[in-house]
Amino acid sequence: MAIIKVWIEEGCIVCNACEAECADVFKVTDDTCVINAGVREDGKATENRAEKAALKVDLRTSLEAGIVAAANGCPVNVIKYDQVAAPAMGETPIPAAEPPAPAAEAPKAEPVAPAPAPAPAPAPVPAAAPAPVAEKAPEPAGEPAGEPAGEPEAPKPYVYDLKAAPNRQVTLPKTVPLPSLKTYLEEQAAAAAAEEAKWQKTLADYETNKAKAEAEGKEAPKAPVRPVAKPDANDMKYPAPQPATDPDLLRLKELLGDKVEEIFQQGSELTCQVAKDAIREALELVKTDPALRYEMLSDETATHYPAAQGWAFSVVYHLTSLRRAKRLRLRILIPEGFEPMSAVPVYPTANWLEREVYDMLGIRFQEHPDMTRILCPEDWEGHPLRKEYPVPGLGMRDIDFREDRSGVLARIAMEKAGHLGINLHPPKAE
Amino acid sequence: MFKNEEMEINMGPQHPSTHGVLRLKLKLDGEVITSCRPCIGYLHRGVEKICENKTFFQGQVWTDRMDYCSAVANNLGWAEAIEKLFGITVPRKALYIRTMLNEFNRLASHLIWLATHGLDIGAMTVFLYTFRERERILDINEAFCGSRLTTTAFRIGGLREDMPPGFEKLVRDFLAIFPDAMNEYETMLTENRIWKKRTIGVGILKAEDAVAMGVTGPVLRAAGVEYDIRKAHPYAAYSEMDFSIPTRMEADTYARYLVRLEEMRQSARIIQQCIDGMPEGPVMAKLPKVLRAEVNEVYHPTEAPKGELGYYLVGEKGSLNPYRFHVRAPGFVNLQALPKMIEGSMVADVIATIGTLDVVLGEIDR
Repeated sequence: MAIIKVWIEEGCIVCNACEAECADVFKVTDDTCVINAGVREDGKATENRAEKAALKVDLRTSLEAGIVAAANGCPVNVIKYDQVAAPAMGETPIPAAEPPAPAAEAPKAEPVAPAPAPAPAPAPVPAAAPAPVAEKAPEPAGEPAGEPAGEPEAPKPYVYDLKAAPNRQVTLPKTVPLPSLKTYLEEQAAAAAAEEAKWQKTLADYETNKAKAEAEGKEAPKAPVRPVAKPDANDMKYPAPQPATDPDLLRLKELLGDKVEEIFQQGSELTCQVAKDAIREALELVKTDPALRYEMLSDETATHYPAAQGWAFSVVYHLTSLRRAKRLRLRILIPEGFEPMSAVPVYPTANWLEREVYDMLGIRFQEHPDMTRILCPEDWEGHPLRKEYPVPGLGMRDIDFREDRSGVLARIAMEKAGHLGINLHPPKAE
Repeated sequence: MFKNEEMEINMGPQHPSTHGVLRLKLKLDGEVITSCRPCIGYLHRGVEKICENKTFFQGQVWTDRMDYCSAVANNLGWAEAIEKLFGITVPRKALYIRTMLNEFNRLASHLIWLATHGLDIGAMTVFLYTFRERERILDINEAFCGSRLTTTAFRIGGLREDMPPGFEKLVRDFLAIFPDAMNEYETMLTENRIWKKRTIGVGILKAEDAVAMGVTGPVLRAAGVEYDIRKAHPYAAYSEMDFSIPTRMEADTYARYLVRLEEMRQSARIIQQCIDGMPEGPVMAKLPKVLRAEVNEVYHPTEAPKGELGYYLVGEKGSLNPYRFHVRAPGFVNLQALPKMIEGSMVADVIATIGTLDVVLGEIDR
């Protein structure tokens, strides 16, 4: 895989996203983004829209990942590129593999041979596929028709390995975006400390420069001014996590004690993180405690955090109190393979929600009455909402319907399973 | 020859009255249903996975395609959930326009419900009447955002544009004819003997069951629980609107029909208030060109025509797309209560009960 040309269409909003992704190629100017001169054959730094200059040959493969990431990250999708299957040799991009004329004309000279079924024409090779078939195929057509080929080589079936396809490669997230008051405070303290250290370094540099200038008899440098954060002109204010002041959260903390790992508020949302073994107890409590009375479980879902240490999923329960018009989020963190207690005995609505969590993320729940898949077929491979699952899926499934055109086998299988279709069993004696 | 065994039959997935591709495995004892198991997932497209890999701006397009009868309500939830994630304050005029379009959407969705529900039970004519008014609502959608069904009506932080010229007249004309249209529907159905026979006492779901099963929307209100997210957790401009929450105590299909009809009248009231009290000012908040998330998680519930539509979003610091996106679809949770509502009743009542739940498989399967 390689990229031959990259250019910027009209409509760039100067967002710096591309430069952040791939600063080698993209440079953002005041009004648009341009392609760096250093990577281009013609050595100019423009949008490359009109001239369409090619990338330098030696950079075509190495820059590919960055360019693709920048093009995908572009919010207005103005970054365009020409991609080819294999590294281009020299200047000419690989032409689209033209399927040669099928070998069906060849049998004209061989009337003795039974007319062969027209060989399946090789499917047009997708641009992304490795193209060994295209090289092989011309041979039969190119041969003189008179030469009796003893055993005409049948065109090899074209096999496209779906699981190894490039668009199925996944980049796993590197951060753990789990909202938490503790982490937020730690991050804030670290950021403040880093800023203070930077300021101290600036001061120290200033002192040395001043002393140096005095020693050399030059003009003293200007004293540094501590930077002040610019007031934000946007109508946007990040709702930072705050310590819990809501009576519901305090009541939960009082009732559950050590089993509560963290309580905090963020914006208008209340979050209570409990120990993973105490979730059933916590759910029963929020439903029955007279001061809480969350009658309804609105939603239950989970999130996969592959970068986390010691745990892998957060499972969240969104509860609603109809009488008091309040909402509460309970959260547990569980490692891979851990089976939390099901919420179904407390809130029957969790039945389908937990089936969906199992289907999509592979978390099984203990004491669930019916732990089966709900949206995907029962024999589906993998759990789609895990972060390591590629967006286009894992590929086509191998079902050969030719075996069973009439549906007889399917019918027999249904009858064996006894749960589909009209019940054909003979009546049982009572 | 008498057989007294149970019979299993499949209803759907290709069945005209299952509103899409819903499949029910029914066990029958004669004509009485002894157990029911809904099978879903035939329309699963992986919207959540796709939106996790799209930017915050691009994801809204996918919400149109979930509940395709009420795209605007889905757009509203998406836009507001992201505004909550970022902490964006939306101008007041944008909130008013959003509220108005959302109520138009509720009307359109309820009109489709009334049409198909009537059609399922055998009242063909009402379909033609409701689609006449729905067509005008789609014209209003088109005048505002250029498309009729897949609207993508809002932008994060407000609206793309203000109301177009002549839009107010469209709205006022619609409000002028709508009460008469409502009376026409009622004349056809409310006191109709066949309609009452097919709906009264059918598909009963009592309040305690409804709350335990997480059922929301008109189905919950028809069981006597006065709960509407527009009042309980006001969003958009609903805190400034004057409207009432219709409830009934009977908890059957007829009660849900009456509740939805009254909701439509209240929606028309809200639209009237929006258009009369439309504030002046900008329709878009001041935002940076690229929205980069901070670490935050939000669950934003809105009252979609079918019930509580909740969006759960997790933001990752510096990221252009959501780290996790989950939809709490009202139909998904409401459908779970279907076995409870139809077990013990006749096969013909299944059709009426599916109709009264107002399921749209596009949002259930996502």
